[in-house]
Amino acid sequence: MSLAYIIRRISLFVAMVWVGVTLVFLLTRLAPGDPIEAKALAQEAVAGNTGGDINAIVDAYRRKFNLDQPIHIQYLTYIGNILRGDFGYSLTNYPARVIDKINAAMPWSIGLIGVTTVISVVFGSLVGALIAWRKSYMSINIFLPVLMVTAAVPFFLFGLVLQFAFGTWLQWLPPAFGKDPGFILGFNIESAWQIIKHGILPATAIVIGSTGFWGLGMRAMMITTAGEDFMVLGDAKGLKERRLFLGYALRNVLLPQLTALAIALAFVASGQVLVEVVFNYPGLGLLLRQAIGESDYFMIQGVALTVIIAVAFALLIMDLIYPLIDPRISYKRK
Amino acid sequence: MQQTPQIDAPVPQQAETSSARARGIGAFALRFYRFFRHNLKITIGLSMVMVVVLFGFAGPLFVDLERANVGSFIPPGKPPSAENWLGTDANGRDMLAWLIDATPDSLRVGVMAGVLGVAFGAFVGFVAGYYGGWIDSILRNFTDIMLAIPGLLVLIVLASVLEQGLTLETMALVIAAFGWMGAARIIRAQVLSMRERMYVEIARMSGERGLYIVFFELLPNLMPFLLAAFVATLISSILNAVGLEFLGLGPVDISTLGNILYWQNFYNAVVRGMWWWWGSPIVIFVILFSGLFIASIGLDEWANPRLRSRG
Repeated sequence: MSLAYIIRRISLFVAMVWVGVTLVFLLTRLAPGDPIEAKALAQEAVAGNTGGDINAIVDAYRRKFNLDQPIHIQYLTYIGNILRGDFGYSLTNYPARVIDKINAAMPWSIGLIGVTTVISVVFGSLVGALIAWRKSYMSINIFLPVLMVTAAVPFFLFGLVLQFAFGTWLQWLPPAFGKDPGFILGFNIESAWQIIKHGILPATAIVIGSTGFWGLGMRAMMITTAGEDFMVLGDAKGLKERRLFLGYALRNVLLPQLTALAIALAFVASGQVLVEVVFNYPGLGLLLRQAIGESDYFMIQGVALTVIIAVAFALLIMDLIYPLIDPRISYKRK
Repeated sequence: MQQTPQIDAPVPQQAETSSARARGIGAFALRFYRFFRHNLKITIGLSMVMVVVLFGFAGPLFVDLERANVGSFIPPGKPPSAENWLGTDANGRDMLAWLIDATPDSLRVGVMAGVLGVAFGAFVGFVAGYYGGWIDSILRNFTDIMLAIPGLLVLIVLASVLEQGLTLETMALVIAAFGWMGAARIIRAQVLSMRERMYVEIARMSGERGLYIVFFELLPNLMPFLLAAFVATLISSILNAVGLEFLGLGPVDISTLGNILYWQNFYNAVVRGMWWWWGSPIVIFVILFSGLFIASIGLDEWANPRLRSRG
């Protein structure tokens, strides 16, 4: 792996984060209306005027959140804060810091996306490859329309169906939350069981949804590979079917499949947020939903930025691992 | 410059057959028929989409949309019956009427965002592929970066700061801002391979201007790819719209399918066992998304016949 490659990937990561952060900053500052004033007015409407001057309150908040500065100063402060991992304070639960809440939610989301991605990549790739393989049993072709439907439908719709079928109706599994109410997690078997039990349904929804994506991608690539010269040669040499499939076709297709992950990751992360909302799963999705319900703008931005940065970071890691496992691109320069 | 034979360059497959030379409506119909019979996936997919389109646009002829008003039926929350074929929600709205009311607007958002996204994406891809050089490398990197940013999250941030919520049009606009990358990539790759092709070379040599080449030599050959990109963008746009609406961030005064899902979540319909409330929009979504998806695979294969497999 050349140094130039590493530097290029890292600058791509920086560019990704920068574009994401800037987008969020610009969209929130340039949008008409003032969230703080709206928030103060809304609270006054709920609590009744407590005698304070609403403008004074708004001004105080603006100073507090640096919103009275000119926009370029705001921007620099904003970037500086994010670099230090400071997403500000929650607007609705004021002393609480956004980053603390996000840190508490992160392990749930990362665990869920990690497990489901591994399962669906392995399972989907295998099914897709077998469908494309000329000599596999024709009966596997039934899976093709199934994959097409599951690839097309958003994850959270599967979530709703699963939640009802296994949570409400059959009552085999808990329909919501990450653990039983009042249960305190620790390092023991019961905690593990709690997490697994509550994770099965959301995980299944995501796996069903993303398996189709992987399967179809794999199928398309297998069809292209099957026509390559080395496949014809292998066939002509009389190699065993198994060897051709695993050693020749699958091995060549598996690695490009990983690059597809780069495109899919942003999509999967968005989908997972909605699944977490459906299941009240205590990850970033639920945090986001509560923040939307309470108009907690800083929390919403914090969650969005976290997901953007996390996805960019995952891509960076993948890009750096990729040349190690695929010798074909190691020293490829632009 | 030596012209290498471009075996792998996909040639858009026209439904030209010997009989196409015949004139008249009959020949046209025959060509039409042959096209759809030959491209089964497009036919199946489009038929499924048409079912949903008809449901939404012809539905009002058969069902009174007033039935979708809050409090139309008392007591509310009834399962499907002879009077309310798909049941009523917790506020006494007739589900069937509500769905018919909501479907066209969901489609409208998708189509608006799809058109905008493909137009912008095609423009970016065209410029990048045709001019190449540093313009290409800037545009390509920008496309890749945008592709890696989870658009839904940025949309959520934007929607949350707009006080009175999004209108249908602004929602389509912002969704399109995150839906052009696929089209840009497809078009760029095609233009890149096409601009070296013989017929472009000949047009250039015979002194045609750049714009003429773009519109009369390149664009017709790009049509299949543009169509495929449009359907793909349509899917991702509707997905993003549904995501926003499900979180309660879509237009507040208009019924959309995602909006129905937001309210069923708000009233805990799943836990209360009101399966008809979320079940019926899901059925529409499954038909719509599967149809669009199958059509988009079909269009991809039509544009790029190498993808076609056995069967």
